[in-house]
Amino acid sequence: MTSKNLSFKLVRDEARRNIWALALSILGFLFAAPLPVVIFIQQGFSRGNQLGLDRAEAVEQMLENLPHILCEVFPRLGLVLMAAICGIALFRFLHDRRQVDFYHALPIRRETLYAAKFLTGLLLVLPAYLAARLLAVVIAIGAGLGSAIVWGDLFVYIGVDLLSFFVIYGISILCTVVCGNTICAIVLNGWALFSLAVVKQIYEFFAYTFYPTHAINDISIWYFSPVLGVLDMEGELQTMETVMLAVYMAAGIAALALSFVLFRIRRSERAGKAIAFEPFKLPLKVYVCMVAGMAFGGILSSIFGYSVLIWMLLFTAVGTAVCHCVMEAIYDADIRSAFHHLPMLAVVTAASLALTAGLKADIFGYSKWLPKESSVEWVELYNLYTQEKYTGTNIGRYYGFSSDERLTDPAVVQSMLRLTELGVENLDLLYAKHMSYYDADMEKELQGENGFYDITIRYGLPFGREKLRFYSIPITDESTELLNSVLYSEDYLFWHNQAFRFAENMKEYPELEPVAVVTDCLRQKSIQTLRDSGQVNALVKAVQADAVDATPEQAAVEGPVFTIELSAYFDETKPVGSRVRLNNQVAVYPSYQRTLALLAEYADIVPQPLSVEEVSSVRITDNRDRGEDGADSWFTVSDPDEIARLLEGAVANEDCDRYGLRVVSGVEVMVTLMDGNVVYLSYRVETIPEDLLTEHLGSPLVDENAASGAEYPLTARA
Amino acid sequence: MIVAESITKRFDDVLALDHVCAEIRDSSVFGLIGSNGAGKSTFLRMLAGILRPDEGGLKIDGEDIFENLMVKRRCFYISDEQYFFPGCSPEELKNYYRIYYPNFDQPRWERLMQAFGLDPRRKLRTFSKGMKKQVSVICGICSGADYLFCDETFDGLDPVMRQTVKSLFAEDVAERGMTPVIASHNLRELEDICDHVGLLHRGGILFSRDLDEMRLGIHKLQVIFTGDGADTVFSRIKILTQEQRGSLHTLVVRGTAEDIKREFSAIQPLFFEMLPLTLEEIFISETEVAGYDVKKLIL
Repeated sequence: MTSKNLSFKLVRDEARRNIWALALSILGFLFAAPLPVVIFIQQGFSRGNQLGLDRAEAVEQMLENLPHILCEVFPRLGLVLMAAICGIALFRFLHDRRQVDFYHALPIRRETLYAAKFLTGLLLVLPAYLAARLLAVVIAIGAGLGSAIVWGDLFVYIGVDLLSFFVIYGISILCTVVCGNTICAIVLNGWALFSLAVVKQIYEFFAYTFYPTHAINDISIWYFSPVLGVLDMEGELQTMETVMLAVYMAAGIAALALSFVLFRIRRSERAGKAIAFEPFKLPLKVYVCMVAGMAFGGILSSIFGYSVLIWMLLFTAVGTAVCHCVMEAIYDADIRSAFHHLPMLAVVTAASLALTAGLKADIFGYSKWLPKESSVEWVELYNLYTQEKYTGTNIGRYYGFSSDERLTDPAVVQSMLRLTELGVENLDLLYAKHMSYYDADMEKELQGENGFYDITIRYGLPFGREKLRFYSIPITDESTELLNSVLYSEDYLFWHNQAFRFAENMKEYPELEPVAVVTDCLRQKSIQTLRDSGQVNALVKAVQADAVDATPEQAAVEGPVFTIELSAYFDETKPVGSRVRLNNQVAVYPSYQRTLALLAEYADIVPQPLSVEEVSSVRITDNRDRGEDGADSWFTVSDPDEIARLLEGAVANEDCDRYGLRVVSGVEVMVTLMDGNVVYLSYRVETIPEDLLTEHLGSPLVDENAASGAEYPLTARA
Repeated sequence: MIVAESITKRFDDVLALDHVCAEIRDSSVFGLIGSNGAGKSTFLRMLAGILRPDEGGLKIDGEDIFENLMVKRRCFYISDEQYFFPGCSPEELKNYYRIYYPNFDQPRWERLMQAFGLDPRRKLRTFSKGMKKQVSVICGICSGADYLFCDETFDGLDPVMRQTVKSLFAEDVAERGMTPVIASHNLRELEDICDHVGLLHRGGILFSRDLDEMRLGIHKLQVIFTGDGADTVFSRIKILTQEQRGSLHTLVVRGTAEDIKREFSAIQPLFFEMLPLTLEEIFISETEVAGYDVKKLIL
C-alpha cells in the first residue's frame, strides 16, 4: 500500500471517528456566519417597513453596514476555539499509555500518523467554515446586497481567519505533544496563548507604578496574545496589525515544525507524565514561576495599597515560591514533591526579586528613552495640560483629541523631539511629582514660579510601532516656543482646526451642498445663513488661510467675534437616520482679514463690539478667595457707565477654538442684553478691572497672585 | 529470527531491562516467563516497536525494529491492557487493521468470529475481558503477521478458550511459520504450547532454553536400591535434586533418558521409574542450581 493510500484511509477513518468535531463546526459556523446575515437582512427590511421605505430603499440602507456584518468576529472566534479543541483532541492519545501502545505498535511511521491527525483537524473544521462563509455571501447576494460586498476586504478577512486557525492549531498541537497529560496540555495551551499578554500587562503595571513617564500602553496588550490579537483585528489592517500577523504566522509555523519534530522523537513511555520532554521542564518552570510571582507581587501590593518596593518584593517572593511548589507537585503528580529542588526555588525567587528591583531602577531605560530622529515616522501631541498657579487646563477643550493625528512636518517633529529631551532632562521634577501625588502643598511648591506643562507625546515608529511617554516640563521661554511651533503649525491645524476637518469630510461627499451659518459671538445670535456652495467653500478656504497665518501674539489678545457653523446634508427630505450630515464649527477673530472681508462681501457682516445701549445688566461672579469677611462672590450692575467699564477687556472666550488667549479663571461675566439674550464673557488677564471688582465685592483678593492665575499661558511668553 | 543483543531500558530511575540477550527462532512459540515487574511487557513493547532500547540492539532478521515500517508490518502486538476506539465494534476494528495489514485474511476472520461465537457488530465495550482478548487474538492471527507478541494474553480466557487459542497458534506455526512470543507469569499456561522459554527476573534473562531440550535433558526418577552401587551411580550422573523417604529415592537428574537408564540398570535397582516433569519442576530445579528460589520468582 502506498503511503498516500494509507494516509488517505487514515484521514478518512480519523475523520469518521471524530465526527463530533465536524458536527460542532457546522453548527457553530452556521450560527456565526450566515445567521447574523439573515438577522441583519430581516431587521433591515423590518426597519424599512417602519420607515415607509420600499424594498429598494431598504436595501440601499443596508448596503453600508453589510461589509461589517460579513466581517464579524464570530466565525474567527469559532475557528480559534475549534483549532484549540482539535489540536488537543486529536493528539491527546499521546497521554494515554494504552493508546500510545496501540498506535505505536501499528506499522505506520510517526510522520504519517502526525500528518493524518493534522489533516483530519483541517478536514473537520475548514470545509464547514468555508461553506458557512459562502452561504452568508450567497444569502447577501440573494437579498440584493451583492453590490456592497467588498471582495478584496472579504478575502483578506477570510485569509486572516485561516491564518488564525493555523497559528492556534499549531500551538495547541505543540502543547499537547510536549505534555504527557491532557489537563497539563490544556493549561499549557492557555499559558502559551495568553501568557505574553500577562507579561506585557505586568510590565505595564510596573511601568505605571515606577515610571512617571508611563502613559498607557505603547503597544496594545492584545497583540501579545495571538488569540486576542486576531480577534481584535477588524476592518482594514493597519501596519502594526500586518506586522503582528506576520509574527503570528512565523510563530505558528515554528510551533507546527517543532511539534512535528517532537512527535517523531517523543518517547512512548512518557505518556501520563506532566511534561513528556525533560529539557522543557526547567525553562518552563522558571518562566511560569517568575511571571506568576511578579504578577502575584504586583496584584497584592496594589490591592493592599502598598505599591512600595519592599512590599512588592515580599509578595513576589511568596508568589514565586508558591508557584514553584505547585509546579513541582504537578511535575511529579505528587503533592509531597512540592518541596523538591529547593536550591532551584531559591534561584528562581532571587531572579524574580532581581528583575523586580531592576525594573524599579529602570534598567531598561524606559523613562530615559529618546527616539532617533531618523526612526520617527510621525508624532502626535496626545495630551497637553498646562499647570500654572491656581489654575490648569487641558488642550482638549479647544482641539479635542484625534486618534488620527499624524504630524509629519519635519519642523514639528523636531520640536517634539526637543520637548522630549526637555522632559528627560527634567525627570527629577516628574519623579518628585509622582511621589507627591497626594500632597497638594508639595505639588504647589513644585510648580515653581511659572508652573509646568504636562505633555504626552506619541511617536510613530517603523513597522507600525508606537511609543507614548508623559513628561512634566517647566514653563520656560524655550518650552513655550516649542509648543507654539507645534500648535500653530499648519500640520497641527490640519488635524484640529474645524475648517480643515470640514473640507476633508467634504472630499468624501462631493455631491453634498455645504451651508454656513454665521453667529455673532458677542450677542449669541445667528445673523446670516449662506447656501451658495461657492461662497461657503471660499469662506472655508479663507478661514484655513487665516488660521495658518495667525500668530501667538494675536491669539493672546483676541477673542472670537463670529462663529461659523459649517454643515452639509445629503437629502433633507429623507428620514433623519438616512441623511448624511456633516457639522463643524469654527471661530473668526478680528485678525482673520480674509474671512472678514468675505463675510462683508457675501453677507454685509462686520464685527461690532457690544455697546452699552444693547446691555440691560452685567453680573460678575468672582470665585477667587477674598477671605471669610468678604462680601458675596457676585454682584450685578445696570448703570451704563459701570457697564461700560466692566465690559472693557471682556472677551467671548466660550466660543474660542484655539489656544492662547489668557483669561482669568474663576471670574464669569454674565451680560444680559436688552433683547433678553444672555452672553457669557471672560476677562483677559491684562484687562480685568480688579479695582472695580474689589469695590463691589468689598474685600481684596487674599492672594494677589491669584489675579494672574490664567488659562492657556502658552502665548504669554511668546 | 529475533535477536536481542544486550538490551537495556530505563524508566527514570528504574532499570527495567538490564543487558538482556535473547534469540527467538522463527516458527517456534517463545514463552517469556517472569514475575510482576520482571520486564516482560517492556521487552514485548520493544519487540513491537513501541519502545526504543536505551542500549543494545533489537533486530528481526537483521533489521532494527523501531520505526521500521517493513518489519512492523510483519508484527502484531496484543497488549495486556488493550485499547479499542470508543464505540467500536469488532467489524470496525478489523477494517481498521486492514488499513495497516494488507494481507489481512478477512474470510478466516469471519470464520473465527463465528466459531468463537462473537458478534462482529456488537460494541466492544459490551464484551467481557475474555471476549475482548479473543477478538484481539483473532485479529492478530488473521493479520498475516509473522510475529505475534502477546502480553498476558491467556489471562482472562477460560480453559476451553485457552486450548482453542493454543491450537490456533500451533496451526499457524506449523502452516506458515508464525512466531508467537507469549509473556506470562503463569508457567502452567504455557507448558503445552511453548517450544522455547526464557525466564526474566529483575530486568535480566536468567536462562533461555528450548523446552524439549530441557525436558529431554532433565528427568525425574524414583529408585529403590538393593545392595551397594548407588554411590557409584550417583557419582557418574548429574543429580540436580535428591530426596529420600525410607528406601525410596526421588531424584531429578540431568542427562538423556537412555544414559540414565543405562547407568541405573547396571546396579539393578529394586524399583526404577522415570516420571514426567512439569515445566514448573524443571524451572525449580534449574533455578535452584542457579541459586534462586524460583517460587519467589514466578509464583
